[in-house]
Parts: sequence; C-alpha cells; structure tokens
Amino acid sequence: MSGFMYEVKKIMLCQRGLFYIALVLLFGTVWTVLSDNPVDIAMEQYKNEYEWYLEKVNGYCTEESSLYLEQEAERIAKAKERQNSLLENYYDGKISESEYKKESREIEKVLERQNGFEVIYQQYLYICENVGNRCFLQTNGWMGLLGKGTLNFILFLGILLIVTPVFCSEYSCQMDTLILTAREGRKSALYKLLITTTVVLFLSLCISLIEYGFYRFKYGLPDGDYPIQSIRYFADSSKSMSLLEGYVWIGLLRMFGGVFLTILLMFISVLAKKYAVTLLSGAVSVIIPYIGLSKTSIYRLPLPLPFLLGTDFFAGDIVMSDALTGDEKIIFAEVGTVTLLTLLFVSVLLCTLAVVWILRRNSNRWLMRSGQKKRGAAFVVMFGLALAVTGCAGRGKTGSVVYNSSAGYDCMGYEIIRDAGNFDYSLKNTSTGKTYPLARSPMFGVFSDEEEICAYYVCPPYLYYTTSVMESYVNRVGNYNSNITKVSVVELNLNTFEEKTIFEQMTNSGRSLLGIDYETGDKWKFLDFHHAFFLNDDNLFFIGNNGITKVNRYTRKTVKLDIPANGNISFDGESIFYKNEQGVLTRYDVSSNETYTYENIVAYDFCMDEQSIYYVSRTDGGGLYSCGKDGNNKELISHIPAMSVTCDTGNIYVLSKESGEEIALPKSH
Amino acid sequence: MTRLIKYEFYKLFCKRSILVVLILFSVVNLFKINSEFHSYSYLADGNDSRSWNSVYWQLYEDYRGEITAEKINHLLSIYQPLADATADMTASTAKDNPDMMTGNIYSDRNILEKYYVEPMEYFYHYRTYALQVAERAKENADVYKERGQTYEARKNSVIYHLYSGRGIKAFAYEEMYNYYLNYDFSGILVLLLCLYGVVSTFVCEKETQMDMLLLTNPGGGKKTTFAKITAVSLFVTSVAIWFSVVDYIGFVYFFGTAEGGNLPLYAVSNFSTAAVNCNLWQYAILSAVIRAVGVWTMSMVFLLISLFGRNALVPFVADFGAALCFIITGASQSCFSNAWLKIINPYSLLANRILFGKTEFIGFAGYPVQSFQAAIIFAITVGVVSITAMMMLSKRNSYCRERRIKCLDLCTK
Repeated sequence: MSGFMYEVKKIMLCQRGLFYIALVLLFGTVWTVLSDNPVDIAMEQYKNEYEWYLEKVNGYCTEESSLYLEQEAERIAKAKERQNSLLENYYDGKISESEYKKESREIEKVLERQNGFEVIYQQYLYICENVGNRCFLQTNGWMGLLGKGTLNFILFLGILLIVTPVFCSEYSCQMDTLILTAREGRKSALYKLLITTTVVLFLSLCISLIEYGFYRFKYGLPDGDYPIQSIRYFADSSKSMSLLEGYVWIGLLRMFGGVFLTILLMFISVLAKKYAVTLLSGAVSVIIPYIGLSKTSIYRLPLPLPFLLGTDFFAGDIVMSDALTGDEKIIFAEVGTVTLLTLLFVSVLLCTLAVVWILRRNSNRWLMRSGQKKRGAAFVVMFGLALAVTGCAGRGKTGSVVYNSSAGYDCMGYEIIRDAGNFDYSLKNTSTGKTYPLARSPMFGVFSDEEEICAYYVCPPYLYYTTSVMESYVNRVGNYNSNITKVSVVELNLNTFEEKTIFEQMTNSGRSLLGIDYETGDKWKFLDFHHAFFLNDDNLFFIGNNGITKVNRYTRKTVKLDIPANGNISFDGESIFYKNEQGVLTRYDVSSNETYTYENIVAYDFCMDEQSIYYVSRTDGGGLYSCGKDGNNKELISHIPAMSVTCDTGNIYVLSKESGEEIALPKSH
Repeated sequence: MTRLIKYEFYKLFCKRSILVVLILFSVVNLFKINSEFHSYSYLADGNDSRSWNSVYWQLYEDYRGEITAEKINHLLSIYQPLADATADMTASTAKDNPDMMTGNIYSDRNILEKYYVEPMEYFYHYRTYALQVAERAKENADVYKERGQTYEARKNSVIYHLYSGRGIKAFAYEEMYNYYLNYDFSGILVLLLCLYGVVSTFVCEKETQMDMLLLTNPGGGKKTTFAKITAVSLFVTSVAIWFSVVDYIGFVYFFGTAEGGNLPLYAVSNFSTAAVNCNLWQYAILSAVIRAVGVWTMSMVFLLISLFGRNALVPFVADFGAALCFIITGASQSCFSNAWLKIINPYSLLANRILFGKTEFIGFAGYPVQSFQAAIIFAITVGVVSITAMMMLSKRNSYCRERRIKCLDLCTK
C-alpha cells in the first residue's frame, strides 16, 4: 500500500473521517429540510394562479407586460365593483337570475386568479424600482438557496472534527518525530493536506448540491440566467451577474472558506501541537467575529468566516433612517469587486504561506538543507493570521361553544368592558358590579403603552385573550436591533382566575440575536393585525383584515384560509360559518377542509347559537329568519327589514333598517 | 489536599496559552464595549462645544439629584417651546443657529426629549405605576384567597411587598447602565475560555497515559479528581468575575462616567418590572456572582463530558455544540413567558437580565418561587450532580493501604 493510501486509511477509518462526513451530510440535509420556510408564503399558496400570470410576463418588465398588468389591475378592480352592484341588483329584483348568473360567470372568470395577481403585482412594484436589472420569476427557490446569510454550523463543526486530529493525533503520541526520520516524511504532510482539503471541498460541494437539489425539488429554480437583483436580498447590488452565476460564485467562495478554515486549523495544530489550542483557535476565529462584529467588518477580514458565509459578498448597501434624528445610516456597505479580489488575494497568500510553512515544519531530516533561515516565513504567517484573528404549549381544554365575531359572549356571569380612556379591558361581575382587570398580572400594561390586549374569545369556563407586547433597549438604528414584538394567547379560567399562556410567537423581523440576524420573515405578520380570534383543541384561528389564518398549535404550521373577513364569522368548534363573496352563507369544515354552500341562504348578516342560524335575508326583503345548522327548517322571526343581527343566550338583536334602532327579540319567539 | 488542589491549579491553568487567551479576550472585549458605545449612544459624537456630549453634560448639573417641581418646570420651560416650534416640521433646518445649544432646533428638541424629558417623566411617574401594581396585586391576592387559590394569593402577596414603596427620587444618567445590563458578548468569551481550560483537565493526562501512573500514587484516583474539580471551579469563577470586572470598568471608561450607580435597578426602563429591589451598583455585583454560578454549572457539565474522551477533540466539539445550543435557545427564548425554559438553561444565569428583568414565578409545593431563585437552585443542583457523577465514575486509587495488606495476606496464605 502506498503512503497516500495509508494516510487515507488513517484519516478516514482510524480517525473516523468517513463517519463524520456521513454525519455532516445527514445532519446538513435534515437541517436544510427542517429550517426551510418559503419567503413569500402567498406565492406558494396561490402557486397555480401566480404561475398563470407569470407565464404572461416572465422575464424583464417590458412596456407590454407593464401595460398588461396595469390593465389587469383595472379589470379586477372594475370586476369587483361590478360584482357588488350586480349582487345588489339581483337581490333587489332589478335583474333576473339568468342575467345574474351569466354576468357572474364572466366576473368570476376575471376574478378567479386575483390572489395570484396580487402576488405578481407586488413583484411588479418591486421591479419598477429598477426595471433594468430585475425580472419576473418564481423567487421562493432562489431566495431559499441564496438569501441565507447565516453560518452553516454543521459544516463548521464537521471541519473541526475532521481536520483537528490529522496532525494532533500524531503529536499526542509523538509519532511526528518518528515520521520525520522516515524517507516519506515530507510526503506524509503533503498527503494529509491533500486529503483533508479534498474532503472539505467534497463536503462543501455536497452541501451546496444538496441545497440546490432540495430547493429545485421543492420550489423549482427556474430562470437562472436572470439578474441576481431580481430577488430582494440582492436588491441594491451593483454586481452584474445572473442568479445561477451567483449560486456558483457563492458555492465556490464557501468551498474556499472551508479550505481556508482547514489550512488555518492545520497551521495551528502544527504550531501548537495540541488538540485544545487548535480547536479553540478554530472556534474563536469563526465565532467571535461572527457574533462580535458588524456584517460590514466581517466581509472585510482575511478570515475563513466571510467566505464561509459567502452570500453578502454580492448584496448591496443597506441604509436605514434613524428614528430620532432622521439621519441615514449605512447598516451594511456593499463589498466592491476590488475589495473582494484583494481579500481573496490576501487570503490565498496567507493560505499558501501557511501550507509552505506546514510542509517545511514536516520536512524530514533527509531533505533538510537550510532549516534555520526561513523561520521568518512562519513568523509572517503567524503574524498575518494573528492580525486577522484579532480583527410549545399544553393542550387547551376547549369545550363546545358557538362563536360569533360580531356578537357578545356569555362569560359565566361576567361582562367584558373596555375603558374608553385607556382602552384597558376588565371583567365586570354582573351580579355584584365588581370589576377585575382582564389581564391578571398586576404588572401588565402599567409601565409600557406597548403592552395591550388585542382580542378575546370565550369558551366557558375559559376566557382566552391575545396580548401584544413590544420590548427594546436600543432606540438607535444600527448594526444591532433589539426590538421584539410578541403576540401571546392567554387562557384564563373564569372559575379560579388562573392564567396560562398557551401560545407565544415573536412577530417582528428587526431583531438580532447576539449580532446574528434573527429573521422571522413575514410568516407571522398577520398576528400584528388580527382583531379577533377563536380556537379549538388543535388550531388557533386569527381574524385579520385580509382573512383568517389557521395556526396549528403543535406544529405551528400556518395556512391562510380562503374566507372573506368582512362580515360575521361564526365557529361551532368544527366548522367556520361565513358569508362568501356573493353573500351566500357558507360552512368550512376545519378538519376535512371541505366547503359547503347554503345555496338558499343569502344574507345581509347572520349569527348563530348551538341550535340555530339567524340571518337577515337578502332575498326576502331583509326580514329575520332562523334555520337549523343544516340550513333546513327555515322560519320567519320578524318582518321588520333589518341591517344586522346578533344574539346572546336569551335574545336576538336586530338593527332596524328604517328606524336605525336595535330591537331585542326573545329566542323563544 | 490544599497542596494537591494548588498543584492541579498550577498544572492546568497557569499556562502561557491560557494567559494569552485571557489577555486577548479581555482586549477583544474592550474593543467590543467601545463599539457598543459608538453604535448605541448619541453622546459618542465627540467633545465639540455643540456636540450632544458637551450639551448633555452642561445641562446635567442643572437636573441631577433629587427630582423637584422647579427642575421639572425649568426643563419643560426649555423643552416645550422647542416641541411646539418643531411640531409641524416646518422650523428651520439650519445647523448653525447661534440661539440653539447644538446649532439646530430639531437636534435641541431631540437631545432634551431623549436624555431629559423621557427619563425624567419615567422616573417621576414610576412611583405611581409601582403603587398601581401593588394595589392590583393586593386586590388580586384577595380575589384569589376568596377562590381558594392559595398559590396565586401568595404570589400576588409577594408582588405587593416587592412593589409597594418603589419609587425613583433622584435623576441621574442611566444610559451607561442600560447598555451594561444588556451586554452579553463577554459571556460568550467566558464560556469559550472556560471550555478551553476545562476540556483538557482530564484528557491531557489520558493523552500522555499519565492517568494510569496517577492511580498508583497515594494522591491519585478520587483525590486527584476532587482536586481537579476544585481547581476547575476556582478557575472558572475567577474568569467569570474577571470578565464582569472588565465589563464594568470598560463601560465606565468608554462612556466616561459611573454616574447613576445609586439609582434603583428599575430606573432602567428595560428593568421596570425587575425582580429585585437593589441599586444599579449592587446589581452589578449580584450579576457578577450569578454569572459565576452559571459558568460554574456549565463548566461542571463540560468537565463531566470530557471525562469520557480519550483526547480533547470530541469533548471540545460536543461541549462547544452544547454551549451553542444553550446560547441560541437561551437568547431566542428569553422574551417568552415560559419561566421553566429560562430556569433550566444555564445561559439565563450568564445573561441574567433574562431572570432579573421580569418578576416571574414558578410554583413549588404551593409556594411562589421567583424564577431567578429557581434558576440558581437548579444550576447548583446540576453542578453538584455532575460532580457526584464525576467522583463516582473516576477510577479508585490502586495504591490503597488496606487492599495492599489484604493482597499480601492472600499471597502469604
């Protein structure tokens, strides 16, 4: 067996190199899959509709595509307007059913892809900022592949595990002196360098390919020849390159970063001859600048870290305005091509010097000619490197209750009241008249105006409410933000007044964690704008202006439901009841995701209790009717034309169309 | 035993490499503190007579000390005209206005608002806010008592006693303490240095097979293990306290003042619901001690892991990975209300504002325990369990007088 093969066997088998490679690839793949979240959720949810529009405008934004999108926007707006008037005319008897159906079909045809259009229109607005270098394309795959400026900790730890023992194991058993006396001594060090470098290159390449494969499989990576500025992460980049070129360059830089780290570790291991020193130096050279320095500084250091990160070499300037003074501050300064090439040159030079020094130190006595003279080179490498281095909730016990977003609640003898002055919620005992603050923590909302109750939901014996809390300690825009906004769902037992937080989520994205950007993206943005919510054992449903978002309480998966949130929303624990765009009462089963339309119930407004649905009929002159949950047993309750209806345990309340007064009707009526 | 501990301490930690890393990390830490000052403080704009720094300290003499009605009226008499003049954003943007302290009307308004009006308002109103909390807690205690909720009643009673009497009587500069209390970077340096020191404690002897030889020595075996644990404990607590001192001195030096040390902890608005009633300088000491406890616990866990390694490689990477997990989960969970997650994560003790910044409780046998108390008890328990495990797992000394006699008896028979 040749000396090279002996070294391969030693590194791969004796030092468990193969095992660590397999481990890194396994964990790397798992992490890539688990940590993925689509950056643009709507693009993914309305994929087919979006792709329909994308087909028409794909590529650079031309005058034609711009005109098409503007005309389409106008067409959709007009169709929506026409839909409303058509509906009014039909229910008022001004047009016949056949006319209504004919025109509705045409309107529906226009509106069938409106969700996808909203996504492409947002993209159009982004492209309009710089038409020259931004294109229409599916961005989620490319954003996932390129838009992550975070360190791959698994690869980093893998390199530490594989590279450190290569020389250290020989120093620990003093094998190095024995090797130095052998004819193949110098070659041994060269083989070690070649093998570890190849392994690290292989690992980096594999991880890059795994990421490419995953994003290609999950989202597709089309149009790789479009400019890199087409995705928001590189919006203001001055570099002229395509997305695919960007991926290749970032991959190559990461591979070089891995090799740089490998050579640095080998250099330190030859210098210090100790495991602990080598490991500490490797860890410090990456972690300390990563959490201690600003991104701008990191990308100007001749260290492995900027290359291991790679992405931001191609990102543009990030400028933010200071909230207090209004001054503009550069958060990240773009790395110019000259700076990048200089940094690369210095790094390659340092690597070369380190390799030469490693080989010199491992030259055996057979080949040594002028040993003492070139110690200066080692000093230069050491000095250079030294300079560089210095530079989830428990299951809720929800019972059976019918929720109406527009109605009051039976709160087990309590009334929920809101102070008109300070907007604080409190519970009023209807029999004693005594009031209690709704939030049971005595500290809540006292010291900060940024702590508030957003919405509440009653499911006896529990009352649930959501709170929004904002915290920060740095009010100055800079490299590190400290803003945190979190939304919590709190469960209050109305019998015992015991409180428990059942759900918590950070919603803002302007936060960094020890200097590492901690992005929450726009996944949880809807929580900031919710005004009502309800829940069952498995899911939370947040009602916002743009619709209802379902959140799984255990997996935290979010799904935006295709339910308009402009009228009353009812929930009986299993199904959501709502008026669809045509005003027809519709039921959505939350477990089977099936929708059922009550074709015979067209309502201005509705509400429901455990047994019945009460609705103001749009087709029967605005009278109040009731029916069973299945839509049968229709009964007239009141002839008085009404605008809206709500109910509580004993009464139904209608708002009279003529007098504008609220009329209470007993349910037994 | 003392001599053995002394030997182990010298052997393990009085090394050139540790001293170099200690000095290097201290310097890096000071650089970082300097960058914090320049990144965060608006007063880092030099010593020009119209700089915010100069203007702030000129005005400071007028408003420092006891908060009185005259001081408040005087401050408002300067601030209110500026606020009125700039309310519609149509005032002159000239930067060399001779009538303005900083040369610009907006700048004058901003410095007064950020550094005097807002803190003075917060200090002045704190007493009322605290009273409100105390009253609500008292009401809550009565409500829970009526409903037979003993734990909740006790918890609210503790809150009542904690908040009644709270108030901020004097005005002082608190910006330095705000950033000092929110500074975490040195905690990472302490962890890395301790990891480096700790990881070679057992493995350095295994690498040279000295561990076999030590077992034949009268002081070897469990005695040596105990001496090593004691030496490590001494080392890690010294390192933690050293960096706490460097942090404090660094912040005082770069911010140019130690003013505000006598203010209560809750004078820093981020600590408005602080779990303890103490002054800022007292908290600085308390924080150093708590951080030392956290570092000690993590070091004992590191030491236990390193006991199983034949060289420093796997224990170092395993400990480093564990430390990263603790740090990332600790920092990302710090703002959530689940107290248990903070209690079981030793990182909370390192960045102890997570525990002391909020009044949070957990129930233990019906009694409320503040989260910081529970975290300290938990950390000490984990540390002691780790020590016990190490003592049990370490090999017994082969040089045992009784065994040798028994052995000799058997041979002679």
